Amino acid sequence: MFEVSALEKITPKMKFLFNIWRERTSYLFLIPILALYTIFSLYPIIQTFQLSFFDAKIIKQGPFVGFKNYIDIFAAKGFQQAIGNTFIFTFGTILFVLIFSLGLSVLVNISWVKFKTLFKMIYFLPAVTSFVAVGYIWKWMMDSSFGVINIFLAKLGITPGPVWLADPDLAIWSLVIVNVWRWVGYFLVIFLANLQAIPSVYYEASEIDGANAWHQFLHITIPLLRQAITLTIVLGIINNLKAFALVFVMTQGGPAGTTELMATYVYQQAFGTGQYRFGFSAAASMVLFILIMVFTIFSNKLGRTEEVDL
Amino acid sequence: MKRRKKLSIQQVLQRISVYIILIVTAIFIAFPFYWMVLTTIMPASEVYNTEIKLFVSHIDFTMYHKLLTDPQLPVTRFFINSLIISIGATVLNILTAIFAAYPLSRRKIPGGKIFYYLIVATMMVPGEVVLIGLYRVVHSMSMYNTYQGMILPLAVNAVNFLIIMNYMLTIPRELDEAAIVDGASMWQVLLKIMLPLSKPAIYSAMLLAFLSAWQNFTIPYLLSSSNDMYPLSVGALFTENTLFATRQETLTLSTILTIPTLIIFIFTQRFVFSGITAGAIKG
Repeated sequence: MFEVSALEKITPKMKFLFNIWRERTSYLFLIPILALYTIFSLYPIIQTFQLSFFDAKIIKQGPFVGFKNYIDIFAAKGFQQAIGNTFIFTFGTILFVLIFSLGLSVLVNISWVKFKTLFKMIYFLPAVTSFVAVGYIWKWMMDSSFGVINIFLAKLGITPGPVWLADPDLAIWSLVIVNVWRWVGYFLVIFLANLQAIPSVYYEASEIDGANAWHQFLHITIPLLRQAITLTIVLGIINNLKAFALVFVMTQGGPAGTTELMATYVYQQAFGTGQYRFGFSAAASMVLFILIMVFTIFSNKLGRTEEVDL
Repeated sequence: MKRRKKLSIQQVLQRISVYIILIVTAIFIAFPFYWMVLTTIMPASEVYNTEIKLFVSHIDFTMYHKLLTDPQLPVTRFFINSLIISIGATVLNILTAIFAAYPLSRRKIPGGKIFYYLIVATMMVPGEVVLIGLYRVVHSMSMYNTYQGMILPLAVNAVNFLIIMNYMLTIPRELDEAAIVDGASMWQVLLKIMLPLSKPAIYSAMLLAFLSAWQNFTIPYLLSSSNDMYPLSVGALFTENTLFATRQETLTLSTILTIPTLIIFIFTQRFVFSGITAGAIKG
């Protein structure tokens, strides 16, 4: 038959081109998002990467300097300190957020607990609040003499109360407290959705086997929430390694650089000191970028190593 | 299965302690908001008080009046800027997401996987991480300190694309395939079938896009430089840093910045929650 012999002549290459032609409208639909994301997300990385090898000042590219910027940043005391602070801030936040949001979500999920939506809503309020407002509220509450926290502590006989944001040993942990407050509700919502997806049969069966609530939590809840926990860690890493506004509003990196984070360090080096060291701070940006990539991929791998079986 | 039986004393105690934990946490989480609003409506003389008063002697809106009429401090302008920037970013973000999610969830496109991963990969590169590059790109396009210069970078938010895409994947294929067989174009399928059926996901994505654009600080802070372009978040910082605002002024600005998102959230919480969980499926 004529049609069959014509079909036989179609080579894979022709088929490929035909598919492209058939999907021309699809490509048209994809152009806006690809253009937008390429120009404003991917291209800036390339720009930053490129600049990190030049002695750049603002818009001027300056001479090529090879790895000098990278050598300089790793020698810079301020940058080492910022990396350490960022790690404390990120992993401190993730640890406490995990504990609180996991614990609270298990409690809210108990069948006889009433007003579930109301609790969920209240816990979520900080997550829809701008970090600028969050920063100002807590800066006021943590004020060492007029802040409501220390006034309350004074009532309990603790005077003088801690100088939350001006004590070099305490400041970064004060920021962790604020950040945990900001994020707990967000992850509680994710955990709750995952908890509701666990069939109650599992719990009923284990009850018959004589397991108590703690055993159920360890051997049913935790393994089945593995994916959600991984996600919390990944999102926590992406959101907190880049943290910026909270420090900017509350401490400006002080006291003595103990709350300077990588993102604020990058900003300060580029715009804050009046020296516009774009090349230097581009190199710092790239380190931050690589850290986010490495941690994200690593925790994704870790979360997927073994399937959960019961 | 409803069974009413008498609870043992141990069970009653257990229930009480669970409620206590939940309520104490709720108070701890809600209290800062209460304290913020309370500080803004008390007479200025009572702000620096070392007594804890949970109520004000009389409600005083002087600070709001002062801030909204102060010629040095265009708070109304900040508010309008925030609206323009957030709405612009939301519309752009959602439109591009819908147009991309439809073909990627439905059609066999050569290179489709690559495009998908390209879009999703941007989640790992938030604006904060490439400040310098972003600043240069926006500058070189002569968009520094303009609305479009802030709207375009804020419109990059792949989470909302994922929410819409994941939802479209759950729509039965027969619906649009039948329409294609009947000779409908992709435009018609998108407008008549995919769009109406994806409404819940689109609402969720829109809300999340608006909330995150409204809250964003870093991008407008990096890309704007004058009073008439600042959104509220940047305006609040500007006020504190350059005009030496009092605590009460700063907190009043924070309240004006916070209230819109809280109200939107309270009335749309169902969509916000489903968006959060839907976006979280693909980690």
